Amino acid sequence: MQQKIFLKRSTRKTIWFYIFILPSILGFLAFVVYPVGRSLYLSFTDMQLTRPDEMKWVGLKNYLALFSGKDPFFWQALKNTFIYAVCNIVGTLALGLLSAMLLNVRVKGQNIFRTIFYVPSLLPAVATAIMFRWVFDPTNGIINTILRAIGISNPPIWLEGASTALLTLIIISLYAFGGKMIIFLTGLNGINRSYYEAAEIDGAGYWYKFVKITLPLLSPIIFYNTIMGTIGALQVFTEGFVVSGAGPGNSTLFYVLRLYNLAYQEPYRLGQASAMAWVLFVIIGAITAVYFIFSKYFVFYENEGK
Amino acid sequence: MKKRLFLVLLCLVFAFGALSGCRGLTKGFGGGKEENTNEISVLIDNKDKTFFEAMIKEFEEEHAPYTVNAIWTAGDDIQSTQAQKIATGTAPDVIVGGDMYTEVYRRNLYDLTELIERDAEEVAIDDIVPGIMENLKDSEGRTVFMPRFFNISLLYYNKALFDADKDALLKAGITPAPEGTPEDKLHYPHENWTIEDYFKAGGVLTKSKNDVYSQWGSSTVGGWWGEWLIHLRQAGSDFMNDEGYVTFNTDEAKAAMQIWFDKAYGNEELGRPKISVAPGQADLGGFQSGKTAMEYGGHTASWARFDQIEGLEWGVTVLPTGLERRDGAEFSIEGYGIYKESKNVEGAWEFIKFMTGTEGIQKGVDAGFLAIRESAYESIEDAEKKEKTALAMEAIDPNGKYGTYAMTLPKYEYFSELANGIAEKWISLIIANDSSRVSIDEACSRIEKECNDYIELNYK
Repeated sequence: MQQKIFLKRSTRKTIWFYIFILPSILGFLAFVVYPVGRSLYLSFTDMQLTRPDEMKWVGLKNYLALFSGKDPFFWQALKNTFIYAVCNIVGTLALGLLSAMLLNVRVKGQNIFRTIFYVPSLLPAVATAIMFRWVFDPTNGIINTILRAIGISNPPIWLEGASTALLTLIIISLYAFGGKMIIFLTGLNGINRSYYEAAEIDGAGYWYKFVKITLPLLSPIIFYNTIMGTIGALQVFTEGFVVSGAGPGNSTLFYVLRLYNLAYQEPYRLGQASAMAWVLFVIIGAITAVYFIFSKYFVFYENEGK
Repeated sequence: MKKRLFLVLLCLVFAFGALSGCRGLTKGFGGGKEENTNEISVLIDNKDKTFFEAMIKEFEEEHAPYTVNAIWTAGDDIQSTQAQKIATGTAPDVIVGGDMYTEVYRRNLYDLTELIERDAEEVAIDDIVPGIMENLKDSEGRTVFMPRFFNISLLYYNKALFDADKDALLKAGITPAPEGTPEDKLHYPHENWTIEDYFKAGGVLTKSKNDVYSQWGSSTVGGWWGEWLIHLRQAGSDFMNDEGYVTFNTDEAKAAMQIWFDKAYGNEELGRPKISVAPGQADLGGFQSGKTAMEYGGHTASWARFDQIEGLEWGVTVLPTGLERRDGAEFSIEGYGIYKESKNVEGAWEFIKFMTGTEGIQKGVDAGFLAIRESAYESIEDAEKKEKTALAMEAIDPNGKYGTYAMTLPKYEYFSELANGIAEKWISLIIANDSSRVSIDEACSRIEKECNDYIELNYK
C-alpha cells in the first residue's frame, strides 16, 4: 500500500516557487553569469578566435595595451562614445521632458499625440538607422533637398563628412526620445496638483513653477533616466555599425563597435576585446557611482521631506 | 541563509565560466554532438547558392556516402563566422580562404602537399594557371589551399561612353595604341597607357553642368585598400617591408596619395583633371550604371554581373603604368583548405578535388567564375569572354607578357587590420570634403607611426 507524503503548505509553496523561477535562474546562470566569468578570464589571455589552441595567460597585458597610448582605435572610440553619450543623454532628456510637458496639457486628442510621439521608440533600431541613412544622403536625401530649396547651396555632407558624421548620428539618436517621454509623463502625473495651485495663489509664474515644483519633484525620474540613458549611450553600437560603418576616418567608431571589430574581424583578438568589455564595465560602474554620490545634492524624494 | 546559498551558486557559476577558458572545455562544447565522419561541412556564400546547390547534389551522387553540410552565410560574414566556429570547436571540415589567409589560419590548416602528390593525376596541378599555386603556401612552405577562383586588378571601360567621345579622346594627347590596333579601337584604353593617360581620358569623359555631374570618368574605390595600394606599389613602394613594419612616410607614398587626391579634386599644376566622385557627391551608380566610363582595379567577380546588364558593353585591359612601374595590381586567390583537426580529411579532400578539379572549375566558368585552369579556359566558346579571360590569366603569370604585374597582399596576419583600420582612416581624410581633411604629408606620417606603434604593441 502506497503511503502518501504530505508536505506542509508553506513547503509546497516554496517548492513551487523554485520550480517556477528555475528556468529564469538557469538562463541567468548560463547566459549571463557564465559568459561574464569567462570573459573575465579571457581578458587575461591572448585568445584569438583563429588560434584557440595557442591561447596563453598574459596577465594585465591586454589592459596595459589599451592604456599605452599606442592603440589609436581605443582612444578614438572612447572619445567618440563619450561625445555621443553626453549629447544623447542631454538631448533625449531635454526632448523627453519638453514633449512630456507639452503632452501633459489637457487638450483634445491627447492620447493620440502621446502615441504619435512614442511610436518612433518602438521602431527597430536597424530599420530606423537605414531610413536615416537615406534621409541624410548628401545628394538625394530629403534634408539636403530642403536645405537647397531654401537657398543653402552647399549643405553639410552629413554622414560622408568626418567632421559631421558623429553629429549626424547624435541627431538620429534623438529620434527615439519617446521612451524617456513616457517615464516623464508618468512622473508629471504623479505630482500633486495642490503644489501648483498653492504656488499660483502666491502669484508664481510658469517658469517659477517649473523650476521650483516640477523639476525638484521630477528629479528622481530625471536621475533614473540619466542613469539608464548613460548605460545605454555608452554601449551604442547599431548606429555606428549600420549607418556609418565607423567612418569616415573612424569618426563614428564607437567603443562597442571597436570591441566587436576586435573580436570578430581580423585578427579576432577575443582576449583584448574582453579586456575592453571589462574596462567599459568599470567606466559605467564608476559613472553610475558618481551619479549616486552626487544625487543627494540634486535628487529630491518627496517622502523624505528634504 | 537562502541568500547566502544563492550567492555561493552565483560565484560557482562565475568561477566555472572563468576556469572554462581552458581549452578542454571549449572543445567539449563543440565536440559534444555525435560525429558523422561522412559529412563534410563548409561555409558557402549564399549569393552563389544556385551554383553550389547543383554542385553539392552532383558531388553527393558521385561520392556516396559523403554528404555536404553547406553552411550558407553572407559573403562578408564568412571569415568571421569561420573564425568563431574554429574558436568554439565547431570548425567546418573545409576552410574557405586563400592567399591572404595562409597566415591568418596558421596552424589550423592541414598540409595538402602529400594529398596533392598522392592524387597528382586527378589534381592536375600543371593545368592550373601559372602564378597561383606558389601563393597558396604558408610561411613554412606547406600548400594549405587549393584554388577555386582568382581576382586581378584591371582597368574596365565602357565602350559606348568611349565611342561617344572618340574624337575628343584621340585629340587629348593620349599615348597612341599599339601598332595593329583596329581603327575602331584606337581610342580605347590599352596596355601602353600611363596614369597620366588615364587622367586625360577621365577628364574628357567626366561631364558636368553647374557643378552637377552627369557622368564620371572613373569610379573610385574607397573603404578598403583595393585602389590606393596599387598606386603605392606602382610608385615603387609597398605598404609593408620585409620586417613586417609599415612604410608610408616616403616620397613614393606621398606621390601615390597625390594621385588618389587628384582623382577626386583634380590638380592644375600636374595637369590632372577631376575625374572621379568626391565625398558628398553622387556616384551615379558606379560603373555598372553605364554613367561611369572606367573602373580602376575592379573585381573579376563582377564580370558575370556586368554581362547581365543590358546595354553595358564593357572592355578590359591591364592597369596603366603608375609613377614608376606597372607592377602592383592586386592579385588574390580564393581557395579551399582542410581544418587540421577535421575528422573527415578524406571526405573534405574529395570535396575540394571535386570543386577545384578540371570539371568543377569548368562548371564554375560556365556559371560566370574566372578560369583558373587552362583546360577550362580552352573550353570557353565565346570569343570576347575568352579574350578577356586570357588577359586576366596573362596578367597573373609572372613569366608572361606583363611580368610581375600581379602582386599578392602582404601575408602578415595583421595586414588587413592595419590597412583597413589605420591606413584607411587617414587615406579617407586626404580626400575629405570638409574641415576634417588632412594634408597628404600628415596622413602619410600618421599612417606609418600609428601602424608601427600598433605592431610593436600587439605583434612584436
